[in-house]
Amino acid sequence: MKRRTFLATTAAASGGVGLVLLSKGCARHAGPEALVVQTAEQLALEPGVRLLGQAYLDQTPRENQRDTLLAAIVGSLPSPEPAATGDDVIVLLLNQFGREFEQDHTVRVDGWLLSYTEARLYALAVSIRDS
Amino acid sequence: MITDGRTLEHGTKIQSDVCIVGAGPAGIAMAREFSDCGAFVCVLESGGISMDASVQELNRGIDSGTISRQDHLFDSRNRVFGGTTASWGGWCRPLDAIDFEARSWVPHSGWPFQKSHVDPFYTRAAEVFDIEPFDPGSVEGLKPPGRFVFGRDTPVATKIFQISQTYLGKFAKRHSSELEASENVHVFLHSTVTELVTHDAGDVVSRIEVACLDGNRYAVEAKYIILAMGGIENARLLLLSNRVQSAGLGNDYDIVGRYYMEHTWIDGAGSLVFLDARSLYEDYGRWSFPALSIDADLQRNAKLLNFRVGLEGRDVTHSADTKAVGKAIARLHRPRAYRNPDFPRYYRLDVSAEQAPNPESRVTLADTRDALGNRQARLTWKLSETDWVTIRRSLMIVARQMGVERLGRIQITFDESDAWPEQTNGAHHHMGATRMHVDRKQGVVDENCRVHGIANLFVSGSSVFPTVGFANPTLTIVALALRLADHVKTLLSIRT
Repeated sequence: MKRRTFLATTAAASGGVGLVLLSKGCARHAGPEALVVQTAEQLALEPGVRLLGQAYLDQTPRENQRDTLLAAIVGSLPSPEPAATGDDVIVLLLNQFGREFEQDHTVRVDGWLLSYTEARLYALAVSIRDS
Repeated sequence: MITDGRTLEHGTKIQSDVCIVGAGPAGIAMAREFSDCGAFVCVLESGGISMDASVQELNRGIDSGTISRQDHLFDSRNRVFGGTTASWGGWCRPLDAIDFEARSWVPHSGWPFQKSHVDPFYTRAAEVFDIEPFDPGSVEGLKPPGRFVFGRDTPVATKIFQISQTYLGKFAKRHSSELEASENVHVFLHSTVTELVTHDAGDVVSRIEVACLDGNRYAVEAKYIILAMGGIENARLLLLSNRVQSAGLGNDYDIVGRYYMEHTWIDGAGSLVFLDARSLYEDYGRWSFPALSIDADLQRNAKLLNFRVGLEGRDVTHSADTKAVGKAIARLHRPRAYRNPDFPRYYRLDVSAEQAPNPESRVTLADTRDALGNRQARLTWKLSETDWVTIRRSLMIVARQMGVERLGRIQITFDESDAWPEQTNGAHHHMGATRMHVDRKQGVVDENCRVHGIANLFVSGSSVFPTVGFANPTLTIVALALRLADHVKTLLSIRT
């Protein structure tokens, strides 16, 4: 399976959310990075993501770079299986959010209490959308 | 029997075994208890059967303190048969067991008895309000229990309220015919007590002075007097009754009026995006609903006051931004469900928290006077840093638990560094100004609600609460009123 075909397949499997974006973001990443970018691209379609993502970037300007955000998100996750899909990465992300809430590794973004990884994911979505 | 006091001959003197001052929930509950008991019981109510603007004017006073409020004394109280149940929402819930405890981190806390002592009276009070009894043996009292928002062993507890169908004036209607028919309980309307007159020694109330707005005046003599006038008026009348004791009755140690508390209320303290298509209210029906509170053990460990956050999902409009954020969160967390129009659910978070006892928060007498010539009440409601820390930290605990349990996300509308938010108010629950304590240096009434130093004077109502938890006070007011009625019957050698 070619890389683009694989991504389109995993996107469709991740909930039928109408993913059509296979952006420049995916093109320069592979492995878990690509799957996280793909998830962020899907989220970028939601207007509410801009509210959260932009607020996080405004209060954390030192992270206002796509690669910085992506590295922080991927670095927080356990390594996915080589054949991991978008669905698998979402599960890893959601588990990580829960762990961060348990560890009180949270941040207030526009008043919303989010896990750091979750907030960075919204910020990554904004970063991708704006690029 | 119910009589308009304005029709009595001027200067009439009424003799009774018991005189209950005030026909609110406490006064009516006690009057029912005395019905057909053989003793003659006189109930004096300042208002009439329906609201009267000129009587309501007697509620005016001066309001100051931490939060600026206009006309609070006027707007938050009803002088009418039924008292403030005329504008009561019907919310019923007992205090928690921890609310009765002496807590090392809450100065002046601790009741003279534990909750288990009050539980039988809560059961009887439930009958007065026609609600299900809160069974102290079950986790949250009701059978069958509604859905718990979180599990049962988490830092955030689900607390259940019941709504009495006797809300908004129906309480008075429900019980008026019984008192109308009673042969030994006599209710006098439009009869405002202006002073309690004691013997020269100041230790027995010998006469109750009553005034009507039309100028008529009469007096009542009773073996036992029970003040049930509401959380502010109870203290005000003790202070006004200073003919023999210059500081007022029961006020040898300057406690009357102090420790005044309200439940601190913050409307719209936050929003909840709840990752479930089913309403949290579905399992509770029309007459009960859940709220979230902090588990007692965590309150102890974190040194917090009691607290609840209500989840208001009905008749609430959420902003476009909140809904947009909700959809974004839903899309990430439940990608297969987020297109469901009922998903996620949105709730407005309304906080109602315990206030710590504070001697500087108080009811005093103003220099201004009412239409009967008595000094008006001056209310100085003072909040403390402890009160604010409890709200901020408790909301964060709830928000965090939402994330741990993966049930949703919470937005809090104020920051850690903020002062009290603009929407902060009291919940119109007036408590603590004649607090209960076995030591007369620390309380106005003893464990039987008798005023320290006065042999025949008792106080009923939320003004006797030493601490207040988060639960709306009316059920506890009536539970304690029933307990007091039993006590006075014993004094009269009437079998309970």
